[in-house]
Amino acid sequence: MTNYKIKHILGQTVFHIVVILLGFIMLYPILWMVSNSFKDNADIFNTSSLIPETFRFDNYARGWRFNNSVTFSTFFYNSFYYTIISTIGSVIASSLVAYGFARVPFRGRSFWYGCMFMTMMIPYQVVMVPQFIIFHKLGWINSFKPLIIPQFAGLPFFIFLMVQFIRQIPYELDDSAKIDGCNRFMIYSRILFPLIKPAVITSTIFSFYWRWDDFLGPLLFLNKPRLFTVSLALRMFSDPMTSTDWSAIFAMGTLTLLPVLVIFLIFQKYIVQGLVTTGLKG
Amino acid sequence: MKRNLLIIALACMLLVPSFIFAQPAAEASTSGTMRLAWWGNPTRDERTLKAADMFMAKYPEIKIETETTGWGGYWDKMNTQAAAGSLPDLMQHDYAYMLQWVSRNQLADLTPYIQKGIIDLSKINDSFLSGGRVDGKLYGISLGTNAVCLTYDPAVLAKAGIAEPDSATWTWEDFERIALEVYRKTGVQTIPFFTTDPKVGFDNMIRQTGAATFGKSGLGFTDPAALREFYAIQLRLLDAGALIRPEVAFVTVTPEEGEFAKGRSWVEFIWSNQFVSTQAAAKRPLKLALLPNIKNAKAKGTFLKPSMFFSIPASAENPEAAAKFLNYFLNDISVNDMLMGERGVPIPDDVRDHMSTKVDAINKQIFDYISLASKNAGPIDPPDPTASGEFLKMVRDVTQEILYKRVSLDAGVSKIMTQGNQILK
Amino acid sequence: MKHINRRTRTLMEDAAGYAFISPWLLGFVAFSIIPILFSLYYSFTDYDILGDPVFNGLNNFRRMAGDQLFWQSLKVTFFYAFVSVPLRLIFAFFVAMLFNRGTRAIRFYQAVYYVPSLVGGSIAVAVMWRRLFMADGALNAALAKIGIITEYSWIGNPDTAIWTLIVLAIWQFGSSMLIFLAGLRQIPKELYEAASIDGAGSFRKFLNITVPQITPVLFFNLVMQLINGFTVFTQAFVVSGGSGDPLNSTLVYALYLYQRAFKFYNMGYSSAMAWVLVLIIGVMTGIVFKTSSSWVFYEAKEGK
Repeated sequence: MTNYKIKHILGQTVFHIVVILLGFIMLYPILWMVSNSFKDNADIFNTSSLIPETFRFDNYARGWRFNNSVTFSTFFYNSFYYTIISTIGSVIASSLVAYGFARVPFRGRSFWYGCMFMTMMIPYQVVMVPQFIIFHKLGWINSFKPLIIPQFAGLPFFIFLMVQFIRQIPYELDDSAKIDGCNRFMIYSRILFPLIKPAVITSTIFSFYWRWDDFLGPLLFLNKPRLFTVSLALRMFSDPMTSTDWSAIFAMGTLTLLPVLVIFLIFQKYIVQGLVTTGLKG
Repeated sequence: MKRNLLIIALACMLLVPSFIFAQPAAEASTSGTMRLAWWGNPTRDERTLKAADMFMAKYPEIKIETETTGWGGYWDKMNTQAAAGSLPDLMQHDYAYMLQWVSRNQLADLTPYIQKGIIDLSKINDSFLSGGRVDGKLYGISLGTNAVCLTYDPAVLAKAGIAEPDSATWTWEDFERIALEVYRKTGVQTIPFFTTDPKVGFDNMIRQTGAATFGKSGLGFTDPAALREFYAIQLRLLDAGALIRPEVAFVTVTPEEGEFAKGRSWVEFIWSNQFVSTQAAAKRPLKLALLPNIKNAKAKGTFLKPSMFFSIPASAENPEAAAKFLNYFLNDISVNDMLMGERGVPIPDDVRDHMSTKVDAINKQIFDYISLASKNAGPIDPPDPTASGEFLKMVRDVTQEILYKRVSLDAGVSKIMTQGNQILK
Repeated sequence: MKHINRRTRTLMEDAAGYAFISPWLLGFVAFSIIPILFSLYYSFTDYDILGDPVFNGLNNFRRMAGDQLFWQSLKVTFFYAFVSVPLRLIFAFFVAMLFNRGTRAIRFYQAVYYVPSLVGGSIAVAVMWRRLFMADGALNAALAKIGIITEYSWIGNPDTAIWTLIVLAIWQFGSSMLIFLAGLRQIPKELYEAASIDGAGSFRKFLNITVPQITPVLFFNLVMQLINGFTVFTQAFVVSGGSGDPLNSTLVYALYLYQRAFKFYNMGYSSAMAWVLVLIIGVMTGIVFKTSSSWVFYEAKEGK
């Protein structure tokens, strides 16, 4: 027994050491960025040390002020606004559509499912021009509409993910709900939606992160600096012809990481809880 | 069942275009509002926005809406807007894309606005304007002058006991001798020439032979000797160990990470408006020099190039306001005092003279270099042909093949000649 | 009577099905069909974005056959996809198994391991990644510490440059890990409990419960990563500065397609390339879908 205990503790120690070492490698580039956000512009490419010699918080102030007419306050507000609305829209729509594809044996199902896959296989650069023309004709340029409204159609990635999860859930649950007098929408909203919670939460995290990070969409559709998102603003720091304010880039880069990290930490707990809360027992 | 699907699909396809294209594209243009687009960085953005504000204070009847992004993304955005017919009224343009846009009738001729007196070019030497001219029409006005140059580290030369070159007269032979001697005495190497765009380098040599890189259809030169020499010098230096290895030199880096900034090369090949960033990255005193001459040079290799233009798209809704702003931006002393030559050395004589007394030491070096270059410059070649993008990619590929020693010098050069003529035909 | 009943029922099913997928269907019709049809049309034209497309039949496809860079980009992409996808999935699954517990420390580790996936295509990654693999980069510095002194430029050498992209893909395994974790969480605990009562060891439990139960999620990850692998763009763009350096060894398909469209103004050719890619990915995923019935385990069998 004691032998087992020692083995257990030893195993645990080795486990943690390996995980921490690997974790450090995983994190090294991010630590590098954070450390650079405090360094003097001149020191960034001189020293490889992770610990800055001086802590210059004015990098953050300078980065935040941006070009002095629009600041990162605006960019963060815009990013939160469009990210949150799109995420809610895409996750709910995707779960509805996924239910349809996974559970309703309607005619033409596999055709449309195939179409959905095709949209994922076409590189965006190719449909970018015609799509822009459509949004232009609709008069949606310079608003968040082209970024938000298509999200309410659901995302093929999420739909596919949720279909995979729904298929794992026994049909008996649907049948017994039907006997209890539930219609399809009630089966979806009361039985299946709570059961695919891990997939819904995973999608939420991804959606939040993707919208937050999206560069090309905001670049094409938003022309006014007042509408810019953080990811778009971040790319505007660099111009090959003039000297680049790297400290400010890294400072703002660090800040833009925080919201996604917080969202991950909040929702991660629910993924981990998994089935415990869903009430699927026995 | 299959048929039903088909009917549904067809119905969708028929239905959708009608509702999308039924909407009229034109939104009522409020006369007096103009859209202005440029690529930049926060510093340029701040100054350009201020210029717009100053203009609006002076001409309250015109309202300017600004659009800006970094260089990465600017052309994706502009091309897309061009396809949709929603270009701004005034846009910053680049020499490399000029002809492409002109040949597709995307840009407006500015001559009428000059005739109407909206744009005043009286203080501008014609040589500064020729870069924006295609077939006698003016499609863009330079916002600053640029010239190709070589920047070197005088301290390294002093350490090696080498006299600084007389940049107007030195030759590639001198260059090669200096490079070898610097390496022998200090261990400091030479960077491969123009790694991001090798054409800029051999173009200078070809121009010195009296020819041009691009012809009407195909290459503008038939004798590959100058092109061959461009690579031969580098290969000789490489074999002597004096050239920085291509594995290191061809990695895309920021100026701060470059071999020159790190002090491993005594020289770097740049455009003069890159000098500010090169200097800031190198953090040591630097000097500017003209590219060396070839043996028996028949013409000047260097030329003055517009660093960027302002152009009015053909589809502009308010071109007169755009022209008015362009004139203000170009000629007004007080606005240029604020802009501080950020887009390059200004082209109107009075503005340039005024500015040269005001700029800091680094920019003064650029101003001086431009005046040296203008004394040693030939006329600019016509804008790059439409297939130039593909040509430059091929040249860069072959350059790597030669320096990585994947192909021989002769094979590489003949590849550029034959493929170049194919691509450009 | 019975006949009519069945008919109305199928009609009801159709109505319900289309109602559920209507958000996607509307979006697809409004925002996807037209761009897709346009790009299909472009692929048979000479189109430089600025002018009007000019129909040129199969010219673009014919030209592709003789385009060395097209074949090079295809080669690079196949190598990238076939190496990075399995490695990434194995790594993601391994870490997900390791982290499939709810303790506080584990949750912290999960977050740490997920962070790299959050930096995506940012400038910071671009700069950082090059600095790791340059001749005087962090990797060579680390190698020097264990006695291997080298001046090798991993990122500047055509033989190894693609591996820096593969390592980048593996490093950002967080999304696959998260999906595996969600999948592992959905396996009913009762199955393990029942197996324990039957005296199964942890390896047998892994083989008989975990593996079959995770196959739907593995299937998902495999399909998605295959599509991602073949359409990879951002990583290559960011690390090579959009050039595909050195010697086009990192010129992935989507990057070449992008250069064709927006650098060389060959939108028509680029669209044709896109459709070739759709065909390739279509065949690949088709194979995965076809074989899936023999290895993917669904609780709820179809055709009920």
